[in-house]
Amino acid sequence: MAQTSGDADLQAFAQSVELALVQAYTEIASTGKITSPAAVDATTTIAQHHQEHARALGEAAGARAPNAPNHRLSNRFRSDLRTASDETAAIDVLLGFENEAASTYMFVLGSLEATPALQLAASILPVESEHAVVLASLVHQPPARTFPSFENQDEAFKPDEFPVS
Amino acid sequence: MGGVTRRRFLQIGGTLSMGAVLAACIGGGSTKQSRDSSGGVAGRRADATILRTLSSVEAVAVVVYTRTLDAGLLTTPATQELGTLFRSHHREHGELFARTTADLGGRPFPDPNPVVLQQLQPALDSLGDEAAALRLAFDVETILADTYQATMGTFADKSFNVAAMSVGGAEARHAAALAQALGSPAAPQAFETPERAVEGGNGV
Repeated sequence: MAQTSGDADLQAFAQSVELALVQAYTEIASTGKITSPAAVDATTTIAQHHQEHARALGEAAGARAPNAPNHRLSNRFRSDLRTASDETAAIDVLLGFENEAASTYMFVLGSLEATPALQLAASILPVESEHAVVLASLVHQPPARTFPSFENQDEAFKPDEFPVS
Repeated sequence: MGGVTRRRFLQIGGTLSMGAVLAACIGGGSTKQSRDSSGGVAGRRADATILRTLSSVEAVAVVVYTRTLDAGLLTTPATQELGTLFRSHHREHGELFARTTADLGGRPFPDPNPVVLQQLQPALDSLGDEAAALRLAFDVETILADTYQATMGTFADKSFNVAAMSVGGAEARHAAALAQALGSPAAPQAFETPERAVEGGNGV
């Protein structure tokens, strides 16, 4: 099946989420709260991945791509990160973002139509899940919380709540 | 997934909506449910073949974890905990796909995939320490994650896309944890690729 306008809208939304994540990682890095080499290395790599996701989604969404962070989501991320008083707290907040990102791709997969669009989303979702594992290990989160038997879409960001800016 | 919940989803619209069965496990569900989204008899048959493959590869993972746990190869408490937890997930995944295969009118394939098992047999036979056990488990988790990713666009019932990746994402988490235990990067690349996927129907 060929790419549909609905697919492009979802990819545009996903791109806005990815760019909001990039912004969140950039902003938390600038606060100096993340200092340990392992955490700096992990968050730098993860931010790069989100940038690459945004680039690929932007190319797929074409003219519909916002090429800008999701404004409402960026505000929420900023508010959440402001409560983090130290590195562990900041990583814990970022861990939540990654789980929400994985959940968002579960939601998106439920509505995409074209095979290339499905394949792109399915190539990103596992990476967001891996990010969650990396961050969970930094804060020593118990395995029972880090490893669900099924990914779910309960924590997904939705376009109606976080419209593309 | 409890029996009551599963039955409730099976009753939707009077026609089986297979993705909805799995949606009971993963929350939300497809946003595009139709009365019969299964693609007819041919679609259900094709989907059953894919699901038989998935349950067979899950069974391989159960074999690998059982062998390594029973042999006492996972010697540190942390890896023992992961091995036990991941094996329970694979049992859950395999049972779910076997039940759904039956719901589609197919014959469940609960046994380990013979083709994959044969490929892994040399590694299984030569397991000597925790590192070797972790490497094998990592290989199996990678094969599983790739296999789920490769199903995208192949299901007749599109709601299976969400269901498959709900498991694929969980397998990717397993692989990431095992990579960490081996001292390797847990998220080495921005995009996953399905290069080690088991093709639907292979071995079943």
